[in-house]
Amino acid sequence: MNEHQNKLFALIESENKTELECKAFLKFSRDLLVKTTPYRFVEEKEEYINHLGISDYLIVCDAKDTTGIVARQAYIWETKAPQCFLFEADTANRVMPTKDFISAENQLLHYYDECRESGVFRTEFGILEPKDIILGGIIIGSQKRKVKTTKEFNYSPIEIDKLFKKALNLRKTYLYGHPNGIQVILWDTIFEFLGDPITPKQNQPSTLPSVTDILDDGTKITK
Amino acid sequence: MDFNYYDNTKIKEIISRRFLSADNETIKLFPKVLENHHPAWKTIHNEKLFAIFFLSNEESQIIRKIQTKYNIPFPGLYSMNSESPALFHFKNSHFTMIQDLTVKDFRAFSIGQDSSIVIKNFTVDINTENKERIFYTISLAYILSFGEEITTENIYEHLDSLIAYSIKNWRQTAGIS
Repeated sequence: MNEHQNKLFALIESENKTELECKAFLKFSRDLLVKTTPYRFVEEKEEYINHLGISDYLIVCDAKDTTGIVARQAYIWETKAPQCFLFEADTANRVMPTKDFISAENQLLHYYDECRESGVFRTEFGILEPKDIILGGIIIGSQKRKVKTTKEFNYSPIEIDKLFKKALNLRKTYLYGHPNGIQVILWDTIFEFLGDPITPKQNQPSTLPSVTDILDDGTKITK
Repeated sequence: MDFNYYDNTKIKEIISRRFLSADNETIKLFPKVLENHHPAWKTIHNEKLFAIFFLSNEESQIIRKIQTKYNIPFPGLYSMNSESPALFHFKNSHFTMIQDLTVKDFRAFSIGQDSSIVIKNFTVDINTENKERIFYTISLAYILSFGEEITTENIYEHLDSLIAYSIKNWRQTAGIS
């Protein structure tokens, strides 16, 4: 783990809500938060105040749009603390979004819509067209806090994974317009994204597998 | 699992957004194999793994010869049995990048479920029992294994994120934060 990962890991593991502190690490993950490799990142704001409240994370960049023309673009993201759960128990076989998650969705949509409609916003960041205001997504929760269980519905870890995946995929498919709509990212993903490349020294174990074993790896190419 | 997940149009779209849309200054940070505006790639896709390899012309020729002789394109690179002996073991391991390494007479990776790996300037060097030498380099590859998290439904989202991760690292290496 590098220094950034150490710090973010502690914030994710904390029992206190650490949204504000975690947001400081998003600038190191900005390639993940934009859809296109930009010509340049122009500006990032950990909050942007508009009429409807405070938008949580804003990335402004110059990038090629779908027509191949370089345009100033802004991505709007909403963040919630890693301590927030995404879903909670509803029935034995179904989970429902938490208030935090619904709140994040609702805030994101309102901020996005307001930024698109706002001439002031576009002028401030030099954005020419409303289409260049882009819906990012929500960064919330962690692997440990995907689903909040209850005494009545105390799901096993396997059930939690299954129910979480089902509920999130339904939202992506039917509400978000998967794959280009709202992205949902856990803070663990930001943590993993911060990892450095490995450039190992040549230091191999002394017990080698046989050459036959090395070659018999079942690789098949199909294209 | 839908085994017909392979979608060349989606791959082209991701490559276009992530690599070809970049400006010339950013492209200079990429491996040389991507400097061409029409980079060639080779994929391996099956029920356990999806991988995309960017190879130079010379590397491609060597791989073609190896495949003809040994029936597999990248002998010694990986096993999908996570228990197999290897230099690196992956399981539930996201966003790993390994670069500038030669692995000699040893399998490079054993890959379990739910892993995403980038390799850059990676060489495999094996002397076989028949005193033949298998030697090849891979300029760049993105390797993803399926599991509970990485599925055929979201494989292209994971590929997109993995490419973004490599670009982040190249910026970082160049001192551009």
